[in-house]
Amino acid sequence: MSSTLATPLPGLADPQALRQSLARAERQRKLRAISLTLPLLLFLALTFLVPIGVLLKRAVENPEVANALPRTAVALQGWNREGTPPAEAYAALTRDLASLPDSADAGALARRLNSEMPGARSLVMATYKALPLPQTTPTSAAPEIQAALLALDPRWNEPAYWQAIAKNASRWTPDYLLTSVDLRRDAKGTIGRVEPEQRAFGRILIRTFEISLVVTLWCLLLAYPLAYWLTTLSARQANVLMILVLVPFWTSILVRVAAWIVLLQSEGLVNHALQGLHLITQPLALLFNRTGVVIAMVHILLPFMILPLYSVMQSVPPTYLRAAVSLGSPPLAAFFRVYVPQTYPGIGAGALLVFILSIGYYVTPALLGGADDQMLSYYIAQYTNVNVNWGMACALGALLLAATLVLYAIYRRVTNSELSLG
Amino acid sequence: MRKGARYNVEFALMADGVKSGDVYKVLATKDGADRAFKKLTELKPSIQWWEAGAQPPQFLIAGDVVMSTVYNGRVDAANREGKNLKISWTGGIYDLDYWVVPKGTPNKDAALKFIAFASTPEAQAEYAKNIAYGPTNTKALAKLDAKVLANLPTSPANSGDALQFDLKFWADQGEQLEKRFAAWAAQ
Repeated sequence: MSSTLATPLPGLADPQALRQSLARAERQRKLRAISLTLPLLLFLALTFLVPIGVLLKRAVENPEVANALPRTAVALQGWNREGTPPAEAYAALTRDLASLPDSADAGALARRLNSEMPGARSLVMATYKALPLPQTTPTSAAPEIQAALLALDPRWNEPAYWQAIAKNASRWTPDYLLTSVDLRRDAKGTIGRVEPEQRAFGRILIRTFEISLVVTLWCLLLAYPLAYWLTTLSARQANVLMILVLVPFWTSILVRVAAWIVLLQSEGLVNHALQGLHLITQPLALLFNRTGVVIAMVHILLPFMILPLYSVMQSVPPTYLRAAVSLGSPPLAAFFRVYVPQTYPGIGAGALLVFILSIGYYVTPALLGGADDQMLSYYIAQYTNVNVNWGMACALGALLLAATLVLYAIYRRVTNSELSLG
Repeated sequence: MRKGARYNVEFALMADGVKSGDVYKVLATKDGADRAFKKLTELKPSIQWWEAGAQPPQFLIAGDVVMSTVYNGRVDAANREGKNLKISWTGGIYDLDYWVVPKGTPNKDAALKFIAFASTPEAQAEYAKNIAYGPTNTKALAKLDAKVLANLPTSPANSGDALQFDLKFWADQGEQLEKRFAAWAAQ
């Protein structure tokens, strides 16, 4: 027993060892802390970082032609992309198509080439189904195969189809990203603008920003007085009002959009009320145009503006305003010069939140807007669901992501602070 | 009109005087597509777009539009609920639906048996009595009375100058035309 008591503390004899064991304990503590956050990190990586990485990859990936037509790609390498390609290319194409393992591969190839050159889908599929070519064997001379292919479909004589193949023979392509900003590469690889009647995405991007900006401004205009009023009320009253703000926030977006359709249609409640008050004689067009989209989006996004504003306003001492007035400032000037600047962080956070959420809006414009009120996400959905063109959908997604990041960078630059929600 | 290029460019060409037999021939050329979009531009200020097939009858009943392109079965369904909507069959487009059996399915025999049953005149006539979509088996027409026939797109009286939707054309040109429609709608 006495020996235990007499054992000296290890550190006193050897300070080096103490330092080491302390460092070890510290390391273990850190490891334990990290291992606790590991599930979350893993979850984030799997559900957030990986999908975004895959999305960005799909925006520049172009595997269809390279996978399906490796020999043709080689045969077309020396071709100057004018006139018809050499007979060897015809032979290589026939061999490539014949050795495709599954008709699904031919389908993917046909779809890819068709988005480059309309008509390629039927050409490729018809050729694929007609193989093997009549009166030739795989060992026939190239000119014979060329003649047989041309006899099958004379469209193989048109350089445009071959240019589409040659252009897409590499595994990576900037084409989707270029198309998403209304640029294109011609057959020889020179980059230029697309024809005016095909130019769409520039305008759609501007429209997306325009709608988002209008929605953000309206939200700010409506939310600021409301949030200010909330701070002046007693805690009890403020809570009741806060519930009124939050209940719609917790309701499904689809339900709210459907409700707006009922309210805004030309035989709807709003028009009936206005006509009943003799304010208007003809029903107003509130639905399936920009007005309807903006009204519904402002309604849906309002809580995202109110909450950060309210939390910042609560931290502003009301005494400052009183001090300014007692020092002789007119109340309005005091409000704008003393109170409002103190709420800038709330305005910044709320506006950024609403703006970034609204540039990704899809379902509200789709249901309440007309053909010229659709935002970028509508076209992403169109490319995924209707055209099954993942490359284009991912490129537009990447464009939206880039726009959001640029905005955030500008926000950081201007306000010189991190995004804080109060 | 439906929000998209499909059906609308065909309607536009027919409205511009192209015979239904020539629509896809004209549309395949650059000039033809230009012509279709020019006609649509003329109508653009008065067009309200719909997205889902249920919308056009709803628009008509609510008085939002005075006429609309529509899937005829939706009109039939609305009329069965006591509404009074009328169809003009001139320049209609009819489209065929297909049964597809996935390759390698364990139930191939049952699927084929079902398709054979669904294609019999009796089954198709019964189907047409319940919703006014036209039977593909023409023998079914003989089993239907005049009242049902009046609402069918494939009855001789209604299909006079109807245009058959060309799946192959849209497989080739669809992406291009839809993209052009998006650009056009944005202008």
